[in-house]
Amino acid sequence: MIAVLGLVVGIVLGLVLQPTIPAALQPYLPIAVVAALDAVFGASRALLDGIFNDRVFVISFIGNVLVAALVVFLGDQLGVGAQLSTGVVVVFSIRIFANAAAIRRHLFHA
Amino acid sequence: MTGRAPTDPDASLSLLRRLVDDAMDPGYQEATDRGDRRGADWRHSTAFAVAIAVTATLFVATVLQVRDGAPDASQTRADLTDQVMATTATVEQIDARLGTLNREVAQLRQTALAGSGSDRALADEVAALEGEVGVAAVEGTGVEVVMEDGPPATVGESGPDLARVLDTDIQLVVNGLFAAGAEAVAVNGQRITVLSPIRSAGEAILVGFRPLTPPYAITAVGPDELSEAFESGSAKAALDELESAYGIRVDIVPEDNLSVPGRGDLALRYVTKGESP
Repeated sequence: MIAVLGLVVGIVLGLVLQPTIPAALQPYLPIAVVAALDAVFGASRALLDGIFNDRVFVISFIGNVLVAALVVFLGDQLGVGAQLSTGVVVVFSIRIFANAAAIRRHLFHA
Repeated sequence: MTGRAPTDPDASLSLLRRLVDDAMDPGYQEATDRGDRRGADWRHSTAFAVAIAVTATLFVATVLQVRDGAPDASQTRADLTDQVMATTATVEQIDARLGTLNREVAQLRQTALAGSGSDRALADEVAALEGEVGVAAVEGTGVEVVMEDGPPATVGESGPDLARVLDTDIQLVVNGLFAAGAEAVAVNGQRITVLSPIRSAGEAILVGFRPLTPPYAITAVGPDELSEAFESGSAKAALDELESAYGIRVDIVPEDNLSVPGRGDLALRYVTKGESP
């Protein structure tokens, strides 16, 4: 239940503090959020499968976010930032969909 | 998992399939297979809670940022305005340098042509022609015509504002001044030469490809009776019409000492060989 608490605290923090992200980081923020969401969905599926492991989770979370931002940053430097952003979003959305489907099967057996 | 054999008709799909099959990080399964059960209790995993909190915060921050994307647009506009200002300042600098160089050239010519009588006559002719062509500044008595937009008078909801000064109005005044005997005319400090177009681009009036900002001050240097000649000309009648119909304000002020600047950026286009001295 500590996870639900984290969710609530996170939303409240975001709404109350309204953190302003430095302009230089702004292009990477949506990508980072998608990457973080992917890690969270993967972890949720793992814990339903009973194989959750917080070490794996932390590494995949940080790794996902950093690699996604790095890929987009490199793309920006090469002038293909928009295309690479699309690629990253497509990959992560497919994974999120697949994980969400697995979670759904777990919860509703359907 | 599909094989990598070249005969596999499914080969191009293997990438997508792997993406779906490995949607959950394989690390979880590997850790479990290793028997690594540390941190397996998600109910007490602080890391999980913190990560979810961070994700939620970032998510909310991004949503808020995207929602008020308007500041970004105004920022872009401010940046563009700054760029325009900077470029305009550069152009002004270059113009000033051009003026200095032109004066230098004139001075050098003066010294070069200071010798014999025929040389001096040539120098006088050049000076007179420069005034006429618009390279040299001209001073003397003249008249200043100031035009200002009238109160907005739009046709319908989004029709054109008829009370605006148009490029044709400026043309009217400039032509009227020349017809009245003006030697040199400038609009908002820009000398009119035979090569200066007065036209509109969108809502702006361009004189010599530079946009004007209201009020529009048209200065002319000419003979003493320039002002009267202009007032009795046909242009004045048209201006009166503009004033009474649309409320466009027109002030005609005779001046004793006016200065009309020269235009430095005239290029030499035709040269013919003179008689050899």
